[in-house]
Amino acid sequence: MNNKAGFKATFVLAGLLLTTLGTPVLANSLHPEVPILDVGGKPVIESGLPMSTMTSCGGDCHETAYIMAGSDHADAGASQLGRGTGARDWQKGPGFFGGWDPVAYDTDGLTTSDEIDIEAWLKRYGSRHVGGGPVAGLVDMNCLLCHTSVDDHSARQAALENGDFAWANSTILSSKGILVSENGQWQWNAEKFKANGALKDNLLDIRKPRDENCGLCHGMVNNNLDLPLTIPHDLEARHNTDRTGQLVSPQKLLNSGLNISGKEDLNYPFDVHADRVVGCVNCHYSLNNPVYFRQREESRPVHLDFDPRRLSNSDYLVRPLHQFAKGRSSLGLAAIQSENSLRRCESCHSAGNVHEWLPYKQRHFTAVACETCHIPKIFGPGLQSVDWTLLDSNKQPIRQYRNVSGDPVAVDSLIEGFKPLILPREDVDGDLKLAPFNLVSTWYWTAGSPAFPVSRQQLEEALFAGDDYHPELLAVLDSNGDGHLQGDELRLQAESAVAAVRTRLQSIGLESPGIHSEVTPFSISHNVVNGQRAIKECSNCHDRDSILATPFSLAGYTPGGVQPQMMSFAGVETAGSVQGAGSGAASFVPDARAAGFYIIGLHSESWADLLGLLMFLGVALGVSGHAIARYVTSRRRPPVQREYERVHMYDAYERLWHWLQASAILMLLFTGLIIHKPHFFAIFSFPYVVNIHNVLGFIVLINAALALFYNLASGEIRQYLPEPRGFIARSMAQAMYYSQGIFAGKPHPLEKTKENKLNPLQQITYLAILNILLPAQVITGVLIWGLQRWPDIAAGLGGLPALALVHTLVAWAFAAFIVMHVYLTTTGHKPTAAIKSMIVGWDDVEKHPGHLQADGPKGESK
Amino acid sequence: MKIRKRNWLPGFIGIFLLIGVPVWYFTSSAIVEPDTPWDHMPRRPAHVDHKDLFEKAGELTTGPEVTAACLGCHKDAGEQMLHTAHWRWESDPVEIEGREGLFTTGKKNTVNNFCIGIQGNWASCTACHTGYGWDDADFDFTEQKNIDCLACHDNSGTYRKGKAGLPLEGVDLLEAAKSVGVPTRENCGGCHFRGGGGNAVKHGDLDESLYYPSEEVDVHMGRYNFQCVDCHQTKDHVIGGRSTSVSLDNENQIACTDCHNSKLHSDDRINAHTDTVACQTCHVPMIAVKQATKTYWDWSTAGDDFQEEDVHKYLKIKGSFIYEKNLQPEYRWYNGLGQRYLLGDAINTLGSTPINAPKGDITDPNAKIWPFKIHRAKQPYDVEFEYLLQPVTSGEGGFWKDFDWDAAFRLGEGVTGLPYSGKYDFAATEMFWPSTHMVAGKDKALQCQACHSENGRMDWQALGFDGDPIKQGSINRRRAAMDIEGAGDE
Repeated sequence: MNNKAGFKATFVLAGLLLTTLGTPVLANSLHPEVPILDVGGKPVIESGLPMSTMTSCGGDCHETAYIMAGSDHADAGASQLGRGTGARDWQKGPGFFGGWDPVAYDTDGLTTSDEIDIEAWLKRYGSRHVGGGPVAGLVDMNCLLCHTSVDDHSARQAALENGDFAWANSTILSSKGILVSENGQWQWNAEKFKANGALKDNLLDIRKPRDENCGLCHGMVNNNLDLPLTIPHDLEARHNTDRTGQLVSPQKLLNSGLNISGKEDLNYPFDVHADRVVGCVNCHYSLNNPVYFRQREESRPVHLDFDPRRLSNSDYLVRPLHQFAKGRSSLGLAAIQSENSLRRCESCHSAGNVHEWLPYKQRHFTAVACETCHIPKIFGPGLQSVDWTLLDSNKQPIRQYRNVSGDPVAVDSLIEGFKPLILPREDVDGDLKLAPFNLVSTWYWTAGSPAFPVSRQQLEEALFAGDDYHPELLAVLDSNGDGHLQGDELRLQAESAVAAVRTRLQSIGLESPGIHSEVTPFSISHNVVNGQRAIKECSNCHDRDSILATPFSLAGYTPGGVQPQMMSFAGVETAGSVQGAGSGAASFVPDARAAGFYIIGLHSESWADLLGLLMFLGVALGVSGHAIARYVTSRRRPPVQREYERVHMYDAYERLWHWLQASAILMLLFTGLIIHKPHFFAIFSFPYVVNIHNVLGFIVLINAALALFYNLASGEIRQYLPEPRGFIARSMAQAMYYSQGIFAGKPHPLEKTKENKLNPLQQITYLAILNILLPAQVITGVLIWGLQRWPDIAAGLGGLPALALVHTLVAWAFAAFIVMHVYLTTTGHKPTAAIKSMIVGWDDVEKHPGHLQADGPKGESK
Repeated sequence: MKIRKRNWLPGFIGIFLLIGVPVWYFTSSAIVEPDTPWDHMPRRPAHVDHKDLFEKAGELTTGPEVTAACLGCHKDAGEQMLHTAHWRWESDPVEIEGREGLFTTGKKNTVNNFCIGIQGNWASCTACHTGYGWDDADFDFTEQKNIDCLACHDNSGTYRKGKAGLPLEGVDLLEAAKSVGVPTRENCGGCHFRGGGGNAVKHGDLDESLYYPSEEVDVHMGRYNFQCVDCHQTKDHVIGGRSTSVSLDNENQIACTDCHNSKLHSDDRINAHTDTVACQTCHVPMIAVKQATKTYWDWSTAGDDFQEEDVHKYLKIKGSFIYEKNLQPEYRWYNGLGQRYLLGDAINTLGSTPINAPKGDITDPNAKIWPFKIHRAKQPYDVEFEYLLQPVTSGEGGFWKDFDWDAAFRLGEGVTGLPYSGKYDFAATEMFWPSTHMVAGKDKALQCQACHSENGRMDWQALGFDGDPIKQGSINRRRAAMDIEGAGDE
C-alpha cells in the first residue's frame, strides 16, 4: 500500500501546485445549483441517506434513465454476454463485464456456471466501472465521476471493495468534506449545504468531461505543463498506458519526468493533439451532440447535402446519448453499436494537401493508416509480457515492459521508445490498412475440465504459506537457497520448476493444471506526432529491414516452454507467425504479404531478377566466347587486304539521337538498378535517384518520338522494315557470317550503305526493341511514374507489383541487348570502326565490285 | 571536303546539355530561404591591445585625463558621443501623437515609478551617466573631456563609478585604460542590470544573473555567450535599441527578426501566430528567472521608523516593496510605441495612471501581443493640480535625509518649475517593461495550452477577443486587418 500512498501524495502535490500556479478553476456558470437528493427524491441533508445521481441529476433536467440505458460505459459489454466469446470457454462475453483480460487477470466474478457473481465483480472492478448497467441494482451510474473535477476516488474504491455499495457513489464527495465518516457511519456535512439542499457555491464544478476524467480509467493523462510527467504506481490508473504505452500529455518528452534515452533531442510533445488542446471528448464525443453530430449519408434523400433540422442544445442536454464516438478496439467495453463511429484522422485532416512530397500518395493512403507513420515510436511504458505462472513476493506477476529496463515507476529505469508492430487492421469502410499495434503475451495456469483460469486467490493459496513462499516450492525453485525467489528463480523454465508449481496447484484441489498462453494485440492510435516527426524515410518499410518484417519480441522467456498463441480479434489480421528466438525467447514475425500487401523493396519476385541476370550473363558469355574465337582464328590466318571506301553513313541528327538515346538508356539502367536494389547503393539518395530516373525516362521518350518523326518524314523508316523478298536467305547469310565467315576472315555478306545500314538481323532486333521492349518500358515506366495521376489504369494492369515486374524484366532485356549491340559494333573491319563512324558519321565500307562509290573522300587505306 | 577533327565535340556537349539541363531543372528543389541568424552577427577584429599605449599619457588620476588620452587618438569619438542618448539622457525633438509641438524627453526630465526622477537628485542618479561630474542642472553637455569612456570600454572589471559619475576612490584608472575593449555584458550590466537602484529591480528580464548566465536563463547569452552589443549593434557610438520607459519614438529599434526569419517555424499553425504574437511572448515564458524583481513599490509607507528594514520588503527611505521571482509576464498589445506620461500631465484620479502605456490594440495591425513586466507603485502626486510630483530625495534637504515630503516637494518645485500646491497624496501608477531578454531555449517556449486553455495566461477579453480565439475565432483582429486593407484600396 506504500505505492498507493506515494501516488496519492503525488496527486495532492499536483493539486497544490495547480492551485498555486494556475488561477482557480472557473465554475461552470451555466449549470444551475442542484439539491443533492436521495433515491426517494428528498435532499440528502434532510434524510441522511446516500445520494442518488439518478434522482439528483434526473427529474426535470437530464433524463437519467435514458442516459443510463444508452451508456456503453454503464453497459460495459453486459448486453453482449454470450456473444463473441472467442477461444476461451470461461469467457462469458467480449466486454469488460464478463469478459476476460489476461493482462489484468480478470477472473473475479467469472464462475464455471453461466452466472456472473455481480458482487464479486463489483468489488474487484467496480472502481473502473461507472455504475448502472448490469450493476444498476447495487450502484447507480455515477455522473460525478466524469462530470466534476473531483480527482480523488480512493474512498469510492474502498467502499466498493468493502461491499458498501449503497454509499459508494456518495463517497467521492468525501474528498471535498461534503460527506464525513463518523464512527464508521457516513454523515452529510451540513456546513457544506445550502438551505435548499444544494451544495454551497464553488464546492463542486459540474462540467463536461475533461481528459483527466477519462484518464481515471483509461490511462495516463497529464495536461499540466508545469508538473513533469511521471509514472504512477497505480496499475489501474495506467490501464491503456500499460497495454500500449500510450499516454495523453502535451508535455514535450524532454520536459517530462521520464528517464527516456536521448530525451534532450526529443523536443516534441507526447501527443500532438493534447498539445493542440484537442481533448478526449473532441474526438470521442457523444454521438448525438449537435456540435459533432454527423448524419449518415443514407439517411438523407440524394438531393440534400445537409439536413438543417437538428437537435437543439436543450434537447441534447435533456437526452445526451452516452454512446461515445470510438474507433475499433480489440478489447474494452464491447460497445458494438458505437464501433467505428469515431471521426477518423481524415475526417478533420486534409492529408492530401500536405503529402505532396509522398510518392504514390493515394496508394499509401489506401494501404497505410495515418497512425503508422504518425506514431513512429511509443515512449510510455508498454507491456511486452505478463507471466502469471508464478508470483513475486508482492504477489504480483512478472511484468516485462517492451521499452523499459526495470520497473517503469522507478525514476532510474531507462525508457527507450519502441516502434509499434504494424498489422493489417480493418477500417470503417472494411478496408484493410496497415496500422500500429502492441502485442502483450500472457501466461497463466488453467485447471479443471473444461479448463478455467486458476484465480488469483487460488494461485496465492498454492504458492504461498502466509507471506512466504510455500516450502515445497522454495525447495525446488530457490536455487541460491536464500529463502526468497528473485530474478531467474521466478521464471518457470526448468521442467522441475513447472512440476513443483503444478504439484502445489494440485495439492489445493485443482485438477490437471496446465499453462495457457496467449498474445493480445492492442491497437495504437494516440501519441500522434505531426508531420515533422512522422516517419518519412521510404526505407522504414521499403527495405529488407522493413518494420513490416522485423520480428516483434513477445517475451524473453517462455514459461513452461509454452509458445504463446496469437489470439484472433475482430478487425485485426494477425498475419505472421510466432517463432522461437533462441534461449526460450519468442517473437512474432509479421508477414504483410500473407495479408495481401506486396511491399516494394521488401518483397520481391526474385525469379525475375534471376531470369534477367541469366539472360544478361548468357549474352555476355556468348559474345565473350565469340570474341575469343574471332581473336584466335584471326591470329591463325594472314591478314586480308581489302579495299575500303569512305562513306558518309550517319547524318548529324541520326548520330545525335543515337548517342542521346544511348547515354540516357545507360543512365536509366544505372539509376534503375539503384532504385531496384537501393540497399546495395545506400550512398545515393533514393528519392533523388528516382527523380533523375523519371527525367531520363522522359528524355528517352521524347527522343524516341522525335526520331520516329524524323524517320517517318525522311522515309528512312524503310531501312527498319525488312524487305520480305529474300529476307530469309539474307538473314541466313548474315547468320552464317557471324557463325562461320567472320572466323575465316570472309567479307560481310551484305553491304552496308547509307540507304541500307541495317542487316536483316538488325532489322528484326530493332523491330522487336522498338515495337515491344521500348513501348513496354515506356508504358510501364510512365504508369509507375503516374500511378498517383491515373491510379485506375495502373490498377487495371495489376498495380505497381505487376508494372514494376515488367519494367524490371524489360530493363534486363535492354541491358542484354546493349552488351550484344556493343559487341556487334566491333565486327567491322576494325573493332572500333563502327563506333567511330557513329561518332563522326563517316564509315569505311568494303568495296564491292560493281558498287558505285560514294563521293566521299578517301580514308586512310590499308 | 576535309574531315573536321573533333566534330564529335559539339554533339557531345549537346547530349550532355540535353540530359543535364532537364535533370538539373527537375531535380533542383525549390529554393528555400535559409535561416542563417549567424550571418547577422557582427564580426569584430581582435581589439587592439591598449596595454602599451599609455606610456606618454603620464599619470592618469582623474576621469577626464583618461578621456583626453582616449580622444588623443580617437578623434571622432568625442563628437559622436555628444549626440548619443547615453550622454545626453534625452532624445532629439519628436512629435507625439495627440500633443502640440516637439518634445525632447529622456532620463533627464521624465518621471518613472521607481525613484521617480533625476531632477534635483542628479548626483545619485548620474552615477550611471557616461560622463563625469553631472551634479546639477548646469552640466556642460558639450564638454568632450567629461565623457566617460571607461564606463563602457573598461575590460578590467575594476572600474567603478560613484556620485555624479566620478570614478570611485581607489580605482586604478591607468589599469582600466590599458584594458579597454569592446563593451561586455559587465559594462552594460553595471548600469542596466542595476536599474531602479539595485540589482534586478527594474526590468525583470535584465539582472546580474546575466553576467554568467546558463542557457536556462538566456539562450543567446548562456549557450552562445552573446554580448549585449551583439544584438544592440552600434554605429558611431549610437547603440541600437529602444524602450518606452524613456523613448518616445521607435527609431533604431532592434528585433528578433533582424537575425531570425519570422516564419521559420516548420509548423504552419505557429507561423500563423507571428502576425499577432511577438516572438517574445512564447520565447520569454518567464522573467526574473533566477533573481527576484520588484513588482510593487509603495512610497506612501516611507519614513516609518518602526518598520523593520529589509532590502526586499521595506526601507525607511523608499517605502514597502514586493519582489517576485520566476515571474510570469503580463500580456498587452504593443506596436512599439508607448503613451509616455510627461511631467505635468494629469493623472487618472479614478484608477491607476500608466507611465508608459504600450500603444496598440487588437485593431492595430502593427501591434502584437507582447509580454510585459508591469511595475505597480504608489507615488506622490499633487492633490490640487492632479499631477505627479518630483521630490528631491537625495542630498541636502532631500526626503532621504529629512523624511519631510513637503520640503522635498518644495525643493523639487524649484528644480522642475512645476508648481506644488502644498497638498500631496499617493497615486497608483504602473509602468510597462517589455520582456525581451531572458529568451528561453526552444524546448521551453510556450506551448498551446499555456494560453489556449481554461487556466491559460491570456485574458482574452481584456485583449479585445470575444474569448479564447481557438474557439471563438478572432473576428475583431481580422476585422481590423480588413479595415486596413479596405482603406488601402481607396
